[in-house]
Parts: sequence; structure tokens; C-alpha cells
Amino acid sequence: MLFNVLLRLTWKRKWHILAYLSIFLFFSFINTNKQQEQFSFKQVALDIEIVNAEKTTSYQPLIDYLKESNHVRLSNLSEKELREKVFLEEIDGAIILPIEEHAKEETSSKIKVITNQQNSRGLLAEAMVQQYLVFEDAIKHSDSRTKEDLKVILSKKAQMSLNTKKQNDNEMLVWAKYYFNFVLYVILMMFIHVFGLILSELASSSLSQRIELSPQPTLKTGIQKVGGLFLAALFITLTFILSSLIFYPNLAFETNFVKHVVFSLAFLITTLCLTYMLSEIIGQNHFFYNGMSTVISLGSGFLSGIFIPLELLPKNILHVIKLLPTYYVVEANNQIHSSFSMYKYNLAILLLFGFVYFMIGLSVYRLKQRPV
Amino acid sequence: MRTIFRTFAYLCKIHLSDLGFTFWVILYPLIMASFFYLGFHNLQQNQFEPIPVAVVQDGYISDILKDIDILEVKEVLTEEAAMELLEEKNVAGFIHPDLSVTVMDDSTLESSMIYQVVTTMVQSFELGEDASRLDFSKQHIASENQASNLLVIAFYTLLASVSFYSMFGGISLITSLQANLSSIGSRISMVPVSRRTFLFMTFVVSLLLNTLANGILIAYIYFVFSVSLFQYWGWSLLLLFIANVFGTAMGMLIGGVGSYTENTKITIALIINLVLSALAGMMGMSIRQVVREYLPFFHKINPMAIITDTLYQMNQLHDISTLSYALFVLLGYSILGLGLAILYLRKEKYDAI
Repeated sequence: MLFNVLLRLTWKRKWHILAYLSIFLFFSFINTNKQQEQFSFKQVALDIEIVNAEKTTSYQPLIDYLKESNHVRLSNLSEKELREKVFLEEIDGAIILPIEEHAKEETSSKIKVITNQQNSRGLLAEAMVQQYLVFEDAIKHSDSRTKEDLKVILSKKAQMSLNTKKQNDNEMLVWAKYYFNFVLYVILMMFIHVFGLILSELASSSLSQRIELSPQPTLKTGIQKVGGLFLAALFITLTFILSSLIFYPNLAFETNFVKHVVFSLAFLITTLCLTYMLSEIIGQNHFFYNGMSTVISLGSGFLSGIFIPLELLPKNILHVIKLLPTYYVVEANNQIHSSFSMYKYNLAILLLFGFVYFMIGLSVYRLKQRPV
Repeated sequence: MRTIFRTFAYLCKIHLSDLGFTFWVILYPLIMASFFYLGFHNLQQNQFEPIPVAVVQDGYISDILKDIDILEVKEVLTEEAAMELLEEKNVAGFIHPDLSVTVMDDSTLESSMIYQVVTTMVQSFELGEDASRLDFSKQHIASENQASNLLVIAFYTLLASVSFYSMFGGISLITSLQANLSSIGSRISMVPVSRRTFLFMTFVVSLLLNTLANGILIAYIYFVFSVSLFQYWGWSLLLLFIANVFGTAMGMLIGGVGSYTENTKITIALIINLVLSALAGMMGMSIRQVVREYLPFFHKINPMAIITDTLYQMNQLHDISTLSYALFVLLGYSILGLGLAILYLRKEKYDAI
């Protein structure tokens, strides 16, 4: 009975759910498609924008040299716009090549390099340009060497090897890590808001009063409430899981994908239990579900490593965030090459969170039922 | 005049007794600011520090490396000891006597910097006698620093988003004026109270209360986190005030259109706010970057992006040339929204309530 009512109430909110689903799917894709990492040794490719106002060819060797290992883009942006891009960290460095007629003058002949000098990427960009010019200058003043030698000398590189026991991660697995971390935020936001509203609607219906009067055990009522929302929750979670395969169909054959699926489903259960607990505490106040969904999801997003990497968070916060279930999923998702034994602890803790939320929800329900 | 003051006080009372208003407009921005601070505070302090590298003590390579500022050389006696330091992650790389390098796999940027330094050494040796002509002390470039401040940008996106929250006040009050949606509305429509006065006061109250809430947020950031957001206080506050005018106008428009419940209208407003804020960078700069790159026109007309961009351009890049565009567009949106809301509300007539 309760199951059917919940299904009907969920169906009533189908447009609400679909609107949320499409908006967040869109955000999930654009939020994760820019984030990439490199694990095998490969020089970090910097994003550099070069303005060559006169399109002179004399700086072409420098441009070619930078292009070898970086993402170089030639542009016509003004210095103001370039500074804005460096400020926003959209690029690591901006290079403005001097106008040729001034090339002989000492003051205006220098190549302008704009970087954020507090940032290692900015320093690296600057070092690369400076290094090229130092070598070019040395060759220019040498009696025995030509411009061709510069190319040969600069092609010599240090030999690098990795002290690694890990396999190299590929782009797909790194993408999946970011994608499934973002899905946690979406699940929290959607479930608490939408399912919270559904449970509050149930609480305000006459059925709720009938349940309270009936001799049905509290545990059974709780399970029915969580179970009634499970189908819709599963539909939402599976939509996100399957959508990841649109981008990378081969992800389905990776053991990591199984891990992401297992954790997403376990997180689904925990979040449903959290929603149930909140609904028992909040009751019928619609507005609180809006508020709680935003605060809990964004709070978890910022503090559990979804929006900002865990290693960049203050150390004292790291102790506190272990009290959030999202932390355990993010930690497991971030371990790209790991066996089940490495993350079974995280899975157990995650489900334990769900169990505790459910029990608190039941206790609140019982307390509310006590005659005053 | 007395009627105006009484209406003003009455509307303020409605607003402040509304839990939704208190939460979204006053508490939520403070909670979000705290999250932003916790998240981005460390990124700001993430300044460059010399990279630790292990080198076998041989007197030649290690002496050259010790002179390089960006490296912190740790000399060891054997290769095994160097590898041990590397495995324990006490160093980011081990530079062998033959100038080959072993690095750990999870320190990519540091590895790249070591690679750059050692490659320069390899190339210098390749030059032979001409290596003496290399002058690393000579500055061949005009180097300019453009510091970034992600924490402040996050606060600007938050300010842009919450200045739009004046729409909640607009929605609540317009809904409460509609006789078919609220009991207060039906009472008002039956008594001889000027609708124009009510509408005007609705606008003023929503605007003032939300602007006040923005002030609380700015003060909270300034006094609790010691972050000064503005260099141009006057222009920045003017921009935020106009952003609040825009929010209120949009709230009145959303509140006045259609006979949906207040909850539905607030959900619509929340979704609009969430989408526009996310596209302006509130959920991470990568989304904003994609929009700037692929939908530049949309970015230019997205009110949240306009407010965020103008705030950092003025206060961080010292460029106030974009302010007039921002004020013009936001005022244009406000006049449009307000005009449509008034037009729509004037048409409302009820056969029966």
C-alpha cells in the first residue's frame, strides 16, 4: 500500500525529476570533460597563448619549440584579455612577441611573458621561454655554430624513468573518476530535495495518520518508505551510470567501472537512508528540504574532494570530513588501480553510515509517535 | 505617508517571519561563504617551494644542482639510498650521475620541472665549449606577474548568485498579492488599498532587505575571514545594488506569471539561479571556461557572469571599463522584467475568489 502511494507521488513529480536529471547530466559532462591528469612520465603540457601581432616568422622557431610539449594557441587578444585569462587560470602563460621594427631597441624588444609567478605552471612556462632565448643567444655569439645547431641541441632531452609499481592510467579512467565523484553531489542534491518533498507530501496525507494508528511495526514502515523510493532512485542512478558509457563505451569492460557502479549503488542506499532520516526530523516543512539539499550537497562537494582535490584541503578539515559518507566514496573512486580488498573498508563504512541514518530515522519516528 | 510606512513595516514583517527568506537570503550565503573559504583558502597559500631531489655525492653534478634555486638538493652516498628517499616520497626525483632522472609517478608537475632543469644541463653539455656563452643571469624576457586569486573569484560568484536572491522576496510578495493564490491576496483585493503603492513597496522592501543581507555577507567575509573583496567599494556596491534591482524585478515577473503555487515558482527561480550561477563558475571554473570558449555570447549576457566578471575586473584587474556595460545590461533586464510583471499583474481580475 505505502509502496504504491510512494510510487504514485514520485510519478507526480516526474517532470521535476526529469528537469533535474537533464540539468545535472549536462553539468556532469561539462564539469568533467576539462579535467585531466597525467600519470605516466610525460612533460606536463602547459596552456600558452601567444600574440604575434605582425605574424612575423622570426619567432617561429620559438613557437615551434614551445609547441613540441605544450598546448600553444596563437591569438589576437589584447594584453588586458590575456591578463584576465592568466588571472582566471585558464592559461598558464601569455607571451606577447615584440613588433619587429622595435626589435633592435633594447627597451621594447623583449618578449613579454605574463604568468602567475606564485604558481609552478607559470614558473615553468617562463623558464621554458627564457631557456630557449639563452641558448639562442649563445648560438648567435658562437663562431662555429649555426641556427640549425640550435634545433639539434634543443632536441636533446634528459632521460626520464618512472619509479612506479602502478600501471599507467589512461584518460578514460581519470575521466570516470571525476565523473563519478560529481555524480555523488548530484545524487545528494536530487534525492534530499525531490524525495524529501515526496516524503513530506506523504506525511501530510491521511495515509500517514492511518499508518501511525495501525499496529504495523516501525521497522516495516521505515523499510517500506525507503523501498518505495528505491525504484526512482535506481532509475536516476542508473541513468548517470549508463550515461558515462556514452562518452567512453569501453569503460564497461574495466574493473574500475564495476567499482564505480558498486559505490554509486551503495551511495544510493546511504543517501536514501539519509533522506528518510531528514524527512522524519523535518516533517512537512517543504522549504527545509530545499535548504538541506543545497547545504548538504554543496558542503559535501567542497569538503569531500568532489570540487576541490582532497590534498588541497586544510589538514585539520581532513579529520572532520571523515564524518561524511561522500569522503569514503571519493577516496575509493580516486584509487584508480586497486583491488576490491583495498576499498572494501570504504564500502563497509559507507553502508554503515546508511544503517546509522536509518536507525536514527526510526528512532525519531518512534519518539514522535509517543503520546505527549 | 503614514500608509506607506505602515505598508513598509507590514511587508518587512512578512519577509522576516518567513523561514524561507531568512534561510536563503541570510543564512545560506554565510554557509556557502564558509564552504568556499574552507575549500579555496589552501589553494591561495599553495605557493611554489623548491623541489627536493636526491643526488649521489660526486662533487660535480651535485655542485651544479646546488646552485639552482628551484631545487633542494639532498646528497646521499649511494644510489640505493637515493631510491629509498624517492620511494619514501622524501624527494620528488633522483638525478643520476649520468643525468638521467627517476621520478615518482604521482608528482607530475614537479617531475616536469626537474625534467626542464636536467634537460637544460644536458643541452648545455651538448654545446661543448660554447656552453661558456650561456648566460642564465641575463634576462631575455620582460617577465610580468599576474597573480590569481581563486578564493576571491569564488566569493564574487557567490555575491552574484545571492544578489539575485532578492527574487525570492519578489516572488513571495507578488504571490501573496494574488487573490487566487493566497488568503492575504484575496483580502487585499477586497479592501480599498492602492495596488500601485503595494507593488512599489513590495519592490522597495525586497530590494532593501536583500541588499542588507548582501552587506551582512560582505561584512562576514571581511571580518571573519579577513578577506577584502573590493578596491573600488563605491562602484562595487552600486553594481551589487543594481544586481539586487534585477533580482527583485525578475522575482516579481516570475511571481506574477501563471497561477502556479509559490513553491513551484520558487523552485523555478532556484533552478534558473542554479543554472546561471553554475555557468558563471560557481560550481567550478571548468564549467565557466567551457561556456566562455564555446558560448561567448551567452557568457556576455548571463547576468551572473556579468556581475562576477565586472567585480573581479574592477577589483582585481583594476579595470572599470566594463562597469558601464554591466550596469546597462542589468538595468535593461530589470526594466524589461518589471514592465512585464506590471503589465501582467494589471490584467488580473477575478470573477470569484
